[in-house]
Amino acid sequence: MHTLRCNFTATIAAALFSVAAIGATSGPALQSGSVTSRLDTEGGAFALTIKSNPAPIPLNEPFELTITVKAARKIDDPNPLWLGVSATMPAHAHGMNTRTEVEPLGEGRFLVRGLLFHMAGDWDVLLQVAKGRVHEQAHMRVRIE
Amino acid sequence: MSTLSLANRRERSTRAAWRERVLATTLALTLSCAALSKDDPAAVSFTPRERALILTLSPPQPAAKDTTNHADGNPEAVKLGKTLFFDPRLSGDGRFSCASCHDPTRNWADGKEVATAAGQGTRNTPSLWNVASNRWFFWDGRADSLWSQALKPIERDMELDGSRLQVAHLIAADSSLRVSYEKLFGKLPDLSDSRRFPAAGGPRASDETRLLQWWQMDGDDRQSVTRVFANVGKAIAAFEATLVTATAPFDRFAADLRGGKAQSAAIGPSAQRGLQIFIGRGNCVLCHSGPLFTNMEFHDTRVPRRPGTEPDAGRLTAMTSLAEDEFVSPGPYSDDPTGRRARQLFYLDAQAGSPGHFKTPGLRNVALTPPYMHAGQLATLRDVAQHYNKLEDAAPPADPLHVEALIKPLGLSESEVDDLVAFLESLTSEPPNATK
Repeated sequence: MHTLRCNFTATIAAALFSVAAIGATSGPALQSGSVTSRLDTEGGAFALTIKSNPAPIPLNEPFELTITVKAARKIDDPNPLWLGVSATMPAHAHGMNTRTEVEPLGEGRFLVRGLLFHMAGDWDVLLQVAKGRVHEQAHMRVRIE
Repeated sequence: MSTLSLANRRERSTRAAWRERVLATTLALTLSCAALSKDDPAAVSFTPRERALILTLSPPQPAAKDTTNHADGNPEAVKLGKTLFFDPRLSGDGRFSCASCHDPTRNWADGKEVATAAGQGTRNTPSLWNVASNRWFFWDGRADSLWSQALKPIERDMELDGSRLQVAHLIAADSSLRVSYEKLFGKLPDLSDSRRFPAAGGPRASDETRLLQWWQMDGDDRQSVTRVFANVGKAIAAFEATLVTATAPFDRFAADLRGGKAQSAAIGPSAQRGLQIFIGRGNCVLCHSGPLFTNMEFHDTRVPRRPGTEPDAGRLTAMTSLAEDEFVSPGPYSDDPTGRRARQLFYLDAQAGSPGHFKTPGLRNVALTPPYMHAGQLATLRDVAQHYNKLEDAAPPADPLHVEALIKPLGLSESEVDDLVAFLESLTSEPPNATK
């Protein structure tokens, strides 16, 4: 089994996953929609397309991610594609108070529920992907203001 | 002396006089500017980012309807709930009601360090202002709905020390309560057979007699009594959901900014400087976020322990309580066991329940509800501000594996501490809401 390494950090531009808090808790600024970001896992074995709902991600409100995973090359393994998602605040030394539920939707698509960023600041979203013996991960930085 | 030297002397003298006049004028202007900046709201300027952040803190939004309680928002339920809230017959010895600790004349708190009713509590009575907007209830979040919260003090030995059988009999015996109850929740079970339905008893009773009486009952009978008890909680919750703070000076200030005004005198310059600290280097807004000034989650803020008390496990034990609670949102007495609140419990990470973590309290009307923190350890808002400012008597982190890295001395001056307090005072409703 491959050792999981953290050598890829994708910083998502503020205009993408950004800046959730401003206006989000005080009025009708929360709008359902989706914003797309793309990133590759550390070894390049998988490409991830990520949409949030609502978008932008709100401060202190539940949200979902729809993640599409595509293998860069054919992986001969009968095991299904697996995705794990968690998030931490490195500057605060803690993570979310919720656990995520990842539902496979078929054809490499996953719906991630149970996400809630309860504080403003930088969140590090860890995305772990596995297909048989190939395990890789990516980090996505999300700034909530 | 030559004419030239005389002329030079006169010129030097004139220059010196001019320099003195300029210096005096400059000094006067500086002093007057300093005086202005002390009192003039215009002297406090907020960056665009600060202004945007301020707008996230106002106005408060109404609490979402609690779909686990079909009586939420029903005026008849509010009326019944209010009656029950003030009724000491809910308690084991008839002396205490919900209002004994949540006193309307004390902003729905009691002003004591820790609650005292049938026994001595270990935690401070939180105010009920805006209580329906909470995600979790109690300081440790061991209830996931307001109606579930309302039930627990009734059966707790150190609070009302009552029992659900006693409560069901009260509703059945009081014709006024019975009529209101049946209008809202349907027909009461027939409790007239005292062998099947003893006068008192419940699964959390503090004495063996009442425990035994409960567990000797038929399972279906226990369930029908528990259903009545749950409905009592729903009525009380419907009343408590009406306890909403009114507009505060800070809201008028935020409204001025939202309306495009560059400045506002709705709150004074000291409060404005305090606001700048609150959303800036004080880091207060990181936990006290949103229009209710709370992220509704749990933190170890290293508040000193009350002298002579054991460590309080806080959020840690709440995880077990939630797992064992029959009144949770996905449970059999909920009116929406698969809805938003039920999902909230489903996604709760039990590993996040660290010892010594307590809920971030909302700050609206906070100046009216001393003392502060989960065990009333700090007497005044200034004490609270100084706790975060200096951490002089701070307790060590309760969980070495989960230390809140943000808790560091702020290094505020005494006047900046005053400013922070002035801002917190600007969150007081105008005028304070009266009992509905």
